[in-house]
Formats: sequence, C-alpha cells, structure tokens
Amino acid sequence: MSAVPLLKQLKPLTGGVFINSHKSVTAETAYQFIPTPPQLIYHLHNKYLQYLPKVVVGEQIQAQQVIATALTETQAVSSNLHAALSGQVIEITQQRIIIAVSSEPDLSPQNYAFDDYKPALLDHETSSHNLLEREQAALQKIRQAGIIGLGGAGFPSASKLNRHLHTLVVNGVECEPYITADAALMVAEPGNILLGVIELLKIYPQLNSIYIAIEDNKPQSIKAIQTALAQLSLKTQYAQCVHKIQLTAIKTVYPAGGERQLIEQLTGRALKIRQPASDIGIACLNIASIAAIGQALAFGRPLTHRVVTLTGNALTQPGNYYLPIGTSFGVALTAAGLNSQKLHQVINGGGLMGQAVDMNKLDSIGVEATTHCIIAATATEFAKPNERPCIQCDACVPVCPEHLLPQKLFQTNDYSLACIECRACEVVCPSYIPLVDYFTAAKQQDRTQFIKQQRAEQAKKRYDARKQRLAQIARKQAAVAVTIQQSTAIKPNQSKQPTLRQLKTQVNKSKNLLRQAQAAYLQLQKNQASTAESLQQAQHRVETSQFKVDQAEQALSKASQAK
Amino acid sequence: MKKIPLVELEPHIDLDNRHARWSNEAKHFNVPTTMLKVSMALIPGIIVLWYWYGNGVWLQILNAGFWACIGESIVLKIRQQPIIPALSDYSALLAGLLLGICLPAQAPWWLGCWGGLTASMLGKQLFGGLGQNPFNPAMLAYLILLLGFPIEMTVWLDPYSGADMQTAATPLDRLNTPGALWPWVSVQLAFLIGGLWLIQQKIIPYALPAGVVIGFLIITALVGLPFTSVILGASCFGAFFIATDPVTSPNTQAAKWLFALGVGGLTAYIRSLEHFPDGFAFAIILMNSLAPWFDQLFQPKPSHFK
Repeated sequence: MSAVPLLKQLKPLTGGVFINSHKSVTAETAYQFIPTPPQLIYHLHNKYLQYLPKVVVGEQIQAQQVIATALTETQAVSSNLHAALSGQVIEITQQRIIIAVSSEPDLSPQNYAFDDYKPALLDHETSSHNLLEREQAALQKIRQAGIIGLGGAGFPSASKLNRHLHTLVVNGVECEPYITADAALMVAEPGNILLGVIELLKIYPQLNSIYIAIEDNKPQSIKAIQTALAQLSLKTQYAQCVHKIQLTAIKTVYPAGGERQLIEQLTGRALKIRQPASDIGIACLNIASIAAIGQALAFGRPLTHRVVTLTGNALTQPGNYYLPIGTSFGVALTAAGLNSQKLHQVINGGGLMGQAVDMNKLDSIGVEATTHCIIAATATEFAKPNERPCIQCDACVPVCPEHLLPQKLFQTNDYSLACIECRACEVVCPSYIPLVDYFTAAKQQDRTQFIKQQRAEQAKKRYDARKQRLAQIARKQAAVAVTIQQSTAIKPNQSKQPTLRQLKTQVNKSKNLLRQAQAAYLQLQKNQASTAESLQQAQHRVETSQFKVDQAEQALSKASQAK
Repeated sequence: MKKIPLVELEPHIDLDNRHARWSNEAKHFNVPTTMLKVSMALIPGIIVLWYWYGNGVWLQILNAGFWACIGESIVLKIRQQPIIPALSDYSALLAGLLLGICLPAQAPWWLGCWGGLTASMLGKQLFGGLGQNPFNPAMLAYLILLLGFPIEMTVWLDPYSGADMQTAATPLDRLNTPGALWPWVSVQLAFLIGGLWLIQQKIIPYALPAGVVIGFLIITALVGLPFTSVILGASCFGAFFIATDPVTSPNTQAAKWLFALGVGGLTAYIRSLEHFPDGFAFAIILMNSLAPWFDQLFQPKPSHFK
C-alpha cells in the first residue's frame, strides 16, 4: 500500500506550537466498555442549545427514546436528547434529567463493511425535486437523532449542511494534548466513518472533493482508514465515491485541527472573522459526528453513546472508553481505575482548552455529547505557576494561528472576536499569564454591558409606548366625554348603543379569552406538579370567561334582532 | 424584539480554578531563567573588563546590582506589593548589573549606589514595574549619572599605563596605531561571545544586534568615521544587551529592524558630532521613545482581514 498522499496545495499552518501530546498512554487503542452505570444524567444546556424535557418524573422509558428536545425559533426540532439505556426518570430540574437505569448496555455499532449495498440510493439521475425532498428528510433525521459537533464545540451538525456545499472536510485531526477518542474511533470503526461520508454523498452528490484529514502522528488511524478505503474501492458501485475521497496527513502542530485552520491548510482559503465555513461551500465535520450521521441516516440510530478518553496519572487503567452519554464522571473514572488518593483535579476536555470541574460534584456531572476527554490529574500534572508581569517578549505573536497580537490585547485589556481561544499563546508565555482567561473576561464584560444596554433600550421603548398609549386613551376619553356632552344635548339615548361590528369583536375577544383559559386549565391538569389551589383558580377563570362569552352573545343576538 | 438572556455560567465548572494550566514542558524560557541567562552571558565580558581594569569592576557591578534591588524593594513596599516575587524574577538585579558594567572602575562607591537606586526606582518602578517602563532603566540611570556627575563618570584608567585618561582622549584617537586598541576590542569581543550565545539560546532575536551594527556601519560611511570604530565603545555590549531589552524594544519584526537601524545610526552620528564617552545611551533612549510608534506603523493585519 502506498504512503498517504500529501496534497500539493497543503500549506503548513502559520503559527501554532509543538507540545508534548501526552497521548502515548491511551494512543490508538480500540475502545473499551464499562459496566452499566446506575444513573444517567443529561444536562439540558449546552453552548448552542437549550433542551426542554419531554418526559415526566416517574415515567418508564426505553433506550433510544427522546427525553428532551431543543427547538429553533420557528419551533422546528433542532436537536433531541435520547436516553442511552432504558430505565425510570427520577428527577427533572431546570439543569438536568436523571434516569435510574434498569437495563444492560447495548454494545457498540458494528464496523460497517458495505456488504448489503443498495445501489438505488446512489443514483445520480434522480430529479432535483426528489433530491431536495431527500435532503430535507435527511437533515430532519440528523436533527432528530440529536447529532451535534462531537469535537467539543457542540454546534448542531445539520446547520452546517446545505445544498451549496462543494467540499466536505472530515476532521480527524485531534491536535489537543491528551485526547485520543477520535483516533480510537478511527481504529475501531473506519467503516462507519466511510458510511457517514457515503450517506452524505447520497444527499449531496454535488460534493466534488472530500478530505479526510488525520494528523501524521497517528499512523494506526491512517492505516485503518486506508485499509477501509482500499476495501471500499474494490466494490465497483463505490468507485465514483472513492475517487472523490482524499486521505490527507496533516503536520502535527497545535492547533492544526481547528476548523478555520484546517480549512486554510487544505484549501488555502482563509475564513473571515466569525464567518461560517458553509458560506464558502465547505462543511467541516468531526470524524465522530460523521460516524454518528452515518448511523442515523443508514439505520435511524440516534446519538446515545460516544467514545471518551479517560486519562491522567490518577487513573490505573487509562484508555478510550465507549460510554453511554449521561454516565456520571465519577462512575466513568471509577471504571477506569481511579486512585482517589492521587487525584487532585478533574478536567473536562483536553490538556489545553479543558475546564477544571468542581471536585465535589463529580457524581452529578454527566458525560455530554461534547465530552471527548476527562483528565484525572495528580497534583503535579498541571502546574499552576505564579503569574508574572508581561515583559513584551513577543513569544505569543508567532504562535497565534489567527495572527493576532496577544500581548497588545492583554496590555489594552481588549479582546478580539477572531481569537479561537486555543491557548497556544499561554503555552509559550514566559510569564505564565493566562491570556485567554483575560480575553474571555473582557469579552464577557463587554457582552454583559451590551445586554444591559439592550435591556435599557427595550425598557425605554416599552415605557415610551406605554406613555403614548396612556396619552391616547386619555385623549380618547376626553373626546368621548366631549361627544357625550354634545350628544346628550341633542340625542340622549343613542350614544351608548354599540354598533353590530363592535359587538361581534366583543364576542370574538371573549371567545379567545375563554380558549386561553381552557388551554391553561388543561395544561395544569396534565402537569402533576400543579397544586389544587392553582387548579381552582384556573377553573374560576374558565367559568368567568364562559359567562362573559354568553353575555356578549346575548347582546349580539339582541342587537341583530333589533336591526 | 427578541429577548436576550443573561449569560449564565455553567453550574458545574470549578469557578476558582477554571482552566487547566499547561505545565512547563513547551516553554524554552520563562522570565527568571531569561534574566539569569542574560546575566550569565555577561560573565565573559566582565572577566575581560576585570583583567584590564582590576577588581574595581566587580565592586562597581555588585554595588550597582545590590542598590538596584534595594530601590526596587523600597518602591514595592511603598506600593504595598509583594517584594519577594518581584525580586525573584531578577530583572532589578540585571538592570543594576548592566549599569555597573557601564560605570568606570575607579568611580566612587556612591555613584553605583545612586545609579542602582535611580535605575530601579526612577527607571522602572515609577512607571509601574516590570514590563511597563518606556525607557531602558540601566541606560536612563547611566545618562542621569553622566549629566549629574560628569567628572566622576569619566575617570577611566588607561589599561596600559594605569594613569587617568582625559575625557576626550577616547580610543578613537588611537585608531591609526594597530594593536593599541586591543583592550577595547577584547572587551567587545567577549560581550560578542555572550551575545551570540544568547541568540543561540533564542533569548534575544538576531534582528536587533544585526540592525544596530548595520545602522552603525551605514552612518559611519556617510559621516566619514573609520569602519573599525564599530568594535569600540559600547557597541557590542549595547547591541546585544541593551537594545535587546524586550520591554523597551518594539514588538514586530519590521519595527525591530527599524528600531535597531535607528539605534546604530544615531550612535554613529552622535559619536561623529561630540566627544561624549558614548553616544549609545542617548541613541537608545531616543529610539525607546519612538518604539511604540514603530509598533503602530508595522502592526500586522490579522488573518481575517486578508
């Protein structure tokens, strides 16, 4: 087999740092399994989505059942949360849903070997209308399967796909230290990754180049994908797909795997500030997301499990584990042989961008879809040296992949929206300044200020509107009083008689009110948590609005008869 | 209008200790080791100075270094800031050492004392401590001493005879007799060795010393000084140890070149005009004041503006 082809236009990343990857402990081994966790904890917030629970406390649920949904502004489903295992819901709060598990875990999806192939689906001569329908159906499937960016960002995957794509980048460049989850997935399930690629090709036949990018320090993963590709190319039906796929080895440097950096390296096109890649016809998806998309489109399997790297010196059996989403950190780490005497700090994420979690809450934090690595660190593993003043040595300038001037931003207490928060500048800083912390704090401050300003403007608008409304009402009342005075002088009885039209609107209004009251009452009845007092109040509201409707209807009928 | 929710922090994040800090593996230097390595690179030059001028060299250097640390501590005490962490980055000590090297070996002891105090108090802490000073502290203190005590500051001994040298009788007058300049040349060569070691250690960028030498050569050619004067005075010492101060030099590559060419050129020009012991201090202070402007001129455009 030939070596991995290096693309000609591949230009090395400007900036970046070479760091000890700490990956040798868990590197490129196939993933392992853990015993069934007693509880599953699903968090209802992530960076982009807010989920609403779809189950109630005490409900028995099956594996793969939808337990919460995130809605877009147009009330369409943007993502679902699925129970990984069957069990009973025991707690629902604003933050999370907890499920007591009663079943055995199901095993991982088998590596797809492309034996049972359906040629009809790859037919390129389907009409464009048909294609459009198929695309919409597929995107709906991806949303309902709850697939979000599994590389850590958690951006809903379906939002990255549209009909104007010409390039698909499959991101297997796990550049952050400690993380090997994607490499384990590539070694164990290369077929599933290719299945995802081919499923996407079915709905987007116009994709003309597909890059599978892997860092060149992962020879096993490259070999696994290469073997799978070679097997796939033996099947003649797939020949036209396979020649579009380019397996690419990326030079190992942090952060070569960032979306913007990877696209720049592969295609030579730099994204503008905060510009989504789909703007220039490129979709960049994590390798685990692609595998999940393949499972969802081919078999309708939702995203319920993921590979997580459990590592750090406080673990006796570090490795890559196939965890049900919702497994608590405590259970996962215990399964990997946690030595609690050595444990000093638990980090959710990689060695650079990861965040230290509260040590007292380990059992109440669940693995989310975006959790790719948990580090159980000893006291010496992550040094926290004292911060010193900036000496403007400019070490951070050449390593910034976005060509910013971190030291100037730090000096002026500023931030840049172009900063991808990769922390390469912190790695090289001789004064140990947590630069990105300062940038995010400045950003946060600005954002809070912006929100406050927005709220003040909203309040002012509301106040102005209210003032106008009150003035209008006062004016109307004054006008009415004048007309009454005038009319009483001439025609005493007719002014109080409402017109037929007014009566009709009155009826409609009261009916609307009645409907609202009934809906509220029904909802309260459904919700078991509601008290008897609130129920009674709602009932009273229904009755009074019913009475008002009757009155209005009577008045209307009288008036129409009189006419 | 869409309602904007207030940003809520994730509840399970350890707020006191939010981010994992990377351990020291990737760094090839940090602040204390940088300062120590620069101090170590001074040693060959100091030894050669000691050979020619005697034990007074060591006394001046240690004296100035000691008083620089004392001055730093005094201001930190007044500012109610921790003293030990600030002293342990050795930046005050280095400023004192650099000043001590510039002082004549036979100068009175209180000169080093005043100089050290001025360097750390006036040159550095007055502006807010390490990283905030616009001018090189050692050169600022040197200039203040030179203008305040011109006689005491120019009592260099003749390395050959041991007799007092006149202020004006700089080695520039002896350029025509080959071999007579060996004391000055050897000192500068020793500093050159230290400086090259620093470049090899990636502690100072090559652009600054190279620019200083090139700028110096260009202006000497224009004003008609002999080229050999580049090896005299404080050229190598200044080019490798003073101009390369990260705090007071510009940040971007182009700005660094411009800054260094300016320093070299101004030094040569001042030497051709006046018989000051060295124009280098004036040149560096003048260019220090221009460094922020150079930075602004050559600010790189972030990639997203391309």
